[in-house]
Amino acid sequence: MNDAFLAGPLRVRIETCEPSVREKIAETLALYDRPWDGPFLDIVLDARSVERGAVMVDGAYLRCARMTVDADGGEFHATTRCGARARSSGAARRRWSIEVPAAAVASDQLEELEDLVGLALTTGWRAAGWVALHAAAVVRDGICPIFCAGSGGGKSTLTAALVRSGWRALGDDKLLLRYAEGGAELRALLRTFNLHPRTREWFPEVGDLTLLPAYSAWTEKRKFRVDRTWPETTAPHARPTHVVRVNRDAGSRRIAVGELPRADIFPTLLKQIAIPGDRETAATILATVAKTVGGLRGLDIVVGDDAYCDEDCLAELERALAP
Amino acid sequence: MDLRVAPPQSRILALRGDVVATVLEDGAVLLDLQSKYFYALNGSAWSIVQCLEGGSALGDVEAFAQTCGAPGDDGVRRFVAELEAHGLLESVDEAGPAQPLPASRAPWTTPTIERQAEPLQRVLVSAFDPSIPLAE
Repeated sequence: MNDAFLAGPLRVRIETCEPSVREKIAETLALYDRPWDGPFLDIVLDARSVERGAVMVDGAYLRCARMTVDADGGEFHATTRCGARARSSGAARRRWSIEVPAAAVASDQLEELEDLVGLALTTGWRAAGWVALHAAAVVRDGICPIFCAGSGGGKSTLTAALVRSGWRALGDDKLLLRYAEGGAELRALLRTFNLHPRTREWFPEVGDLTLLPAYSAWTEKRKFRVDRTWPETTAPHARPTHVVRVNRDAGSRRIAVGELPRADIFPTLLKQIAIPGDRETAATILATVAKTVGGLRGLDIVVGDDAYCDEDCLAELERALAP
Repeated sequence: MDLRVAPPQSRILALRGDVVATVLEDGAVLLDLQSKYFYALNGSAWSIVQCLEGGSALGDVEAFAQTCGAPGDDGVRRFVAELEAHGLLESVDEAGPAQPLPASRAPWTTPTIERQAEPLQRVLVSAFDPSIPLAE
């Protein structure tokens, strides 16, 4: 069975005889539904089931909760907790051989394939000149703030609130960043937000989010298709103008805005990027972030848990973002 | 850890191979890929670190700093000791090949290094998400 998917600047082909494995990989790739014009870099995910699971590697290149990755001679070797394994080969690591233990296939315990696919994608995006950025961004009238916070830090709800206020979203947590001759550029990858079911309390039009598919095993968030509820509110790309550090305060009912010190802009953006333990890759990421922050302003905001009960909660932030 | 213990002047020191640097508008940042800490350097500190990238004797670093306007006190030595105390340097047998020394554009100031309070995460959610993994 062969299939091709687009994921940003990548054209990904799945090669597998295992229907459930194909379905899981396809489900992961289908998230990246924001069309790109190309050119595209081709990568292949060649998956099969094997009798025995792999022993987890050390993780010198990358250590994730469910996956460890080593790099050896320019090739990657990734393993997951269930014994799945992926090895890259070929020019620019564009072919990935994925082995999934037969027991995991039989019991449909295939969530960890998401990690292996994510590794293949982030590696491919870097080969195409882009850095994966775990941040939110919106744009209006040439103003494009990047919102930085960890998972569960309030990026998605704030992005949704700004979309309702007339901004267009590039994304709520998955973006690509590069620095080229014209300056820094952000690109959107998908058109879904990951919203907590509680969002309905502030934005009733999102409906009962518990009826939607879960985003991941890590959170209660649901995959929410933005433009079905708020038409024409996404944007494909923008030049960033601000880095906004987002903090949460359970006891507040407003969004307080302050300046982010110049020295804090670089680390704030850097913390939104998974940096592997490989010198060349890390140096490329650091250089991209360093060049990007050179022209950006910094803001530091504190978002109260019930701030969105107030319809004017964005006013101070929008004033601070104005030219 | 006493940051003020200077290394002997003839010992050859080099920036560790798994410490990555990038230039910012007012200095540079070092990222230690082992500890995941990163460090902000001012412009003069970055000039010294550039001398150490390929390996240099402390005496040569001091001589270079003086050509950039550093006073003849022990400031450079103390800064190199601080780099070493942070584990960013290693002893090597030979100095690297002579490189064109970085031109100093700004007036010399006391070299400073500031370690970020928190290191980057060692264990991430995924290759895309550098957040701390929470319980599934």
